[in-house]
Amino acid sequence: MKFLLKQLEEGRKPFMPGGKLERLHPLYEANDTFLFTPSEVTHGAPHVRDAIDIKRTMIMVVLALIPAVLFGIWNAGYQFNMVNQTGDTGMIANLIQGAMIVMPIILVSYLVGGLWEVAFAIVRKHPINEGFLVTGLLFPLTLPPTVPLWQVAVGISFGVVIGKEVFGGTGFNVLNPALTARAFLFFAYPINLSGDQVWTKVDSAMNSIQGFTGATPLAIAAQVPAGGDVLAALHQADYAGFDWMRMFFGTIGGSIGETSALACLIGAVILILSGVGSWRIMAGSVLGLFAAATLLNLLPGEHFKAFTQLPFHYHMVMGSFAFGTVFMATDPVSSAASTAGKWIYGFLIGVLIVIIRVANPAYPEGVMLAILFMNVMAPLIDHIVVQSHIRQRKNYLRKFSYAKG
Amino acid sequence: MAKTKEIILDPLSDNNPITIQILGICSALAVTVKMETAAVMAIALTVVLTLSNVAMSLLRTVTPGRIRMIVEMSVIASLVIVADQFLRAYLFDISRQLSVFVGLIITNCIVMGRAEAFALQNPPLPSLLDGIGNGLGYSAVLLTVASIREILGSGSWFGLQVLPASYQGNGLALLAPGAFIIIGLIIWAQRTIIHKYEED
Amino acid sequence: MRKDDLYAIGFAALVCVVCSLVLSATAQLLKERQDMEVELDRKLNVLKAFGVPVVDEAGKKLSKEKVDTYFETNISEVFLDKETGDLLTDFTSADLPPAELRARTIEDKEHLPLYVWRDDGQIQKYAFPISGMGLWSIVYGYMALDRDLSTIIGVTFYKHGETPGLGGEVSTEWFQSQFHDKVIYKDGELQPIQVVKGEAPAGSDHQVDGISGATMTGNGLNQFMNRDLQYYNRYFSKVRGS
Repeated sequence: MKFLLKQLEEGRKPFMPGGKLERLHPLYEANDTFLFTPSEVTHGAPHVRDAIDIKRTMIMVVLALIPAVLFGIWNAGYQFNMVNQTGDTGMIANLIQGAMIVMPIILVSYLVGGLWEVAFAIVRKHPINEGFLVTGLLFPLTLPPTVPLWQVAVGISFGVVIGKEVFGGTGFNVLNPALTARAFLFFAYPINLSGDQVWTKVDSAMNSIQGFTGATPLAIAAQVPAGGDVLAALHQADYAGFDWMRMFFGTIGGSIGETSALACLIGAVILILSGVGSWRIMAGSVLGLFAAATLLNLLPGEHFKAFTQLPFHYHMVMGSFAFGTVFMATDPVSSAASTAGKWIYGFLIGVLIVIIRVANPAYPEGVMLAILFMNVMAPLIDHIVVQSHIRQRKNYLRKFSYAKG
Repeated sequence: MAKTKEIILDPLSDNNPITIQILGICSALAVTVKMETAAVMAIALTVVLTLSNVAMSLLRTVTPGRIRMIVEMSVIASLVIVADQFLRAYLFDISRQLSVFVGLIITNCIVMGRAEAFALQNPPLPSLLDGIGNGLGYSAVLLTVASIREILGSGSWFGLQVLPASYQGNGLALLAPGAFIIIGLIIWAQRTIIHKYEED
Repeated sequence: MRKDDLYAIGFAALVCVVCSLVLSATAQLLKERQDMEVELDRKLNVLKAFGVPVVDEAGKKLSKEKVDTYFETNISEVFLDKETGDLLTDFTSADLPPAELRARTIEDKEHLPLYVWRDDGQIQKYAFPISGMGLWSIVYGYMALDRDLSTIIGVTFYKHGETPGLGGEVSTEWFQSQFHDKVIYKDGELQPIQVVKGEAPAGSDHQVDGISGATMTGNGLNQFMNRDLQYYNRYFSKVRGS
């Protein structure tokens, strides 16, 4: 340990002001603070009102993401082997197959996004933003395993540059950069990302399941006509039927990190226990989803789409609700910051998700759009909350002074 | 005539109506999916702007101050409708693609803005040059945005295939938000180069 | 009233008069040409549905003279009664009530236009307009049938406001050419034409590939194409019977 510290101290000189490699100081700084607690902690309180510095916060998020990453890798391999009937669905075989599909996507995301980070850090002479450790991993998890690698590169470039750097870097961005990147790909290359079909590589050279369309549970639910039985339709779909338990564990096709509600739940526990993710936002979102879904359930099913009759606990395990709520909505930079604001922000995300899923004919999934929309609204929510606090206290003071007078 | 040069060149970059004054964004978003429509729109606006500037400049001494805005609107609206009628008659396909946006030149702030800011204070000849200059400034941005959008979105330029057929078009470039982002990037690049900021 | 008030009113009136004179003069001068362009556009779309190449290799549109020659020698426009399917003799487009000229879909029409193609007096093909909601907008097109009234010669969609790259693909060549040779009438009844989600089964005579990412637009097409076909079939069944 001492040796490592000494090496870093030795190597510091050329990077300090006046040194040969002064312009590359951010690169050195990133390594230094990654390995050791930095000598200075965050000052100027960008968003996390806490004593720990941002880098430790971000490491906790990465830790919380690990179950989703590992499951995503396994599941990508499992789906590939099942659909193509390779006959090899052992744990190890799935992991290897999955890693071959998923790892290039994650690597490209980190590499290309990292290059942009470094470029901006050098030009703007600020340290490399730690937030990228999270963004670079969140983004690939929202993509389907079949996404072309060049699209990953284009997407993360857009997310980092337009989603974050144009606003001034981490802490100034209005939108969640990973979701911005995904939204860009979603609108730019809808055929690869449209979300009503998935996303398991079907290898025509292999013995694939005949007529495998890969429709997602959400797309299936959206197409049941009025008066139909939406649960029955789900249970009959796909090669093994979409029942609740299967969707909860996530052994279904879908974007890499989003299919398993269980893996996201483990991540949620880590985030909440470490105090990094806001439990209020998560709880608010679940409440919002519950309220909206239950209200829709009250509509007469024979006149409305059968999708309106889907119970809320199905909504919770379908699509990317769990992943979005736990990892995207709680992003401390782009979410609401006040206590009451977090509840409102989370609740409205939940409500919007259900509305977009059920009512909008064009977008099968609403999580990404709901969170981005509420990202934009977050400062407004905070403003209203703060203003109402000020008004309350003023009223209280006035009452107090009247009582006295 | 240094001043003449300035009147024409200034709106092209340092005082560009779109990227510096942020006027006329609406049509810059709507008609820039393809070069063809953007070019026709650019010409239409330049013609209307030049004529309205000259007309307002000629009327500047006789127009009562109190009703000058109404007079401006009548003149501009008439010119726009005439332009729209001509497009319908001679460039039918393009005028259908431009749909309401030719008509909306009436509400394009550049036209009214130049009439108010320049033509009412200056004689016809400088007003004519000012109209041409601002028209060209608008056209330059419109054509740049349209070039980027058509090449990125469809892989073609003026309808001619410029990228290999295997190129997968970027759908966002074809949507209005894509134009918004592109204009933003152009503004960013331009202000970085000429060092002109809102705060200055 | 003060003098400058009078002047202002007088000036405004003068501006208004001059502007309106200029406007009415242009409108009057250009009216003929505009009407011709609208008419030419309609005819070109009909020709396209009939399978006549309307754009040459250089990308130039068919000239007005050629279009008119087709309409004089081959094509005649007739009208049908929507409810009964009877051929309305002596009814021309000039007799259409103004409300129907603006009608956007078949639901708003009482008299249905039908274009009949004759070679040397022999009926060869039929074409008729189809239109209805896609996902975001009304999609307009024409469908042409062979003289057996069961095989599709061509379907064209010429106007829509669907998402570019997704639903907007309805106006592309690859999508429209799929309809060629599909069968709408089989074993004595109408066979619904269908845009499926994903790929159509190979060899199907009534299904075509959907546009990926545009399922809802496809559903819209299915709905209005078959609805319009049913209205026109009231007349076609009489022709088949005779």
